[in-house]
Amino acid sequence: MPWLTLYDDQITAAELEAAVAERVQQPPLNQRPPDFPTYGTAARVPALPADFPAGLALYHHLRLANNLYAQAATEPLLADSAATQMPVVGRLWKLVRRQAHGLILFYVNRHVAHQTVVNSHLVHTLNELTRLVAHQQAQITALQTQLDQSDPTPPTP
Amino acid sequence: MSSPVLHQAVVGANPHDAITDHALLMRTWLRELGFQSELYALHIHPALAAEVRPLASYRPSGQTYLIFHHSIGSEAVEMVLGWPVQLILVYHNVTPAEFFEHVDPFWAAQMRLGREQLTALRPRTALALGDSPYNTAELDALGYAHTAVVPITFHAADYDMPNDPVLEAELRRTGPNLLFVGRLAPNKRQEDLVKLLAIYRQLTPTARLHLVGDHWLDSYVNWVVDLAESLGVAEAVLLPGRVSQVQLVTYYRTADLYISMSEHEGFGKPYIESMYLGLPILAYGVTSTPSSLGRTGVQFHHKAYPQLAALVDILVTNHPLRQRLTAAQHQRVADFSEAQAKATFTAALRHIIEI
Repeated sequence: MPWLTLYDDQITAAELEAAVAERVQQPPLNQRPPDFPTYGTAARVPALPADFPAGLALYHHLRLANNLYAQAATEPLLADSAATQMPVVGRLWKLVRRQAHGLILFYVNRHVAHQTVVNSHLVHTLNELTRLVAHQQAQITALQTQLDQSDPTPPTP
Repeated sequence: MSSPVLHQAVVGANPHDAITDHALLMRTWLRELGFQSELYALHIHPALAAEVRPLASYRPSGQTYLIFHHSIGSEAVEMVLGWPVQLILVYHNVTPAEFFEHVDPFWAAQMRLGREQLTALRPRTALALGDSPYNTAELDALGYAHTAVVPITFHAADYDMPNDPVLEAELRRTGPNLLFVGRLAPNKRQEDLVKLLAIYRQLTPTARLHLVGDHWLDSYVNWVVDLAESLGVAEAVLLPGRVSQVQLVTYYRTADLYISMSEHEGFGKPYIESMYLGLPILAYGVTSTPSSLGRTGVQFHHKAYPQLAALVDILVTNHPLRQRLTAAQHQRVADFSEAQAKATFTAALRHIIEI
């Protein structure tokens, strides 16, 4: 699919795309753009490296944190009771109870939303740190292997 | 013989709200067609207390139909389904829950509920109207039997006014000025406009971005502000919130480009406002945007920031192209005239009601 859609009698979408491509070849647009964050996206859970069995518990907790941080019940629980089934008064009681639950949830849900955003930042950060630790661990292991394979005899004086 | 009755219900009635405005306009049409017609709402803004009646006071006796406007999960749907009337559904689209899933469980739940209720409303619906072809296509896909498109209408008279001189002077002080109008919400992706501005300012360091619209979700507003700060463009990103009509007109008239990165639009009224007020449009071509723009504006289909920055530069500086774009856009406005929408609405009603 073309990148642009344009209806014009003097320039086609392909010609406009070509003009854009030409500009992007030149400074300052020829630099790779930063890796921008995106609001509200799911965190990318790192996979447990095959050569890191000691990290099983860490990755288990991390995976659960990713799965759970945005799960909060926000709806009222309003099961019918004997009181709500009484004639006339029951309907009024049901209405009052619904309003009371709604009022409480209005304030509680504001805090839930705030905490979910904080949790989201924490989980994203933990994921990235875990990925970084795994990467560095792999580098350490590779360097250790190189070191072990190098000549073990000490230099002679 | 008394007049036939056809009332409407919305979840919330608020001033300057697209759904409320649409419902009030429909009420005018219905009265012109000879119906007794009132608008009922579950939540009523005090400014509309004289115009709109509480939904709890609605009495269905003697009525065959009720027009219900659906856009979000609400207990209003349960109330409506509890009344012995058939429904004429006006669907304004429900924002997908995925935009809120990882940041706001309450709104995510409301959006999921809205989708479930859209399915629950179907068996009781005699006629379903979408305010864009995109929305109507969703109704068709869900199996709604009788559907039609009745677009949001555009009233030119609401925009024919002089600019706010103080705001105009401030806006013309520097530029180019990029504009987006819409509540600050994750599906509108104002954050992506901030990212684009950061790249575009490498070409044009004086460029500014104006994000006009309600500060609807605090966490998203904070995110946009923090992102602008971390990208070093905080002083160039302006968030005036909701503005008056005269200020809105001034923003459109003094901006250099209307740009949208929105990933979910049910209709996109600011496109029509841009068309009428002579502002070229560059928009991410998803959801209802292609049908609202028709054969006007420029649409892009993936968000490549350096390419978009180059494209913005071309659209801001290439005056012959700008003139052709704005001329085509201005012609498109006629497709959203009230007369045309009213005729479509009346024709759709005739399928189920003798008028």
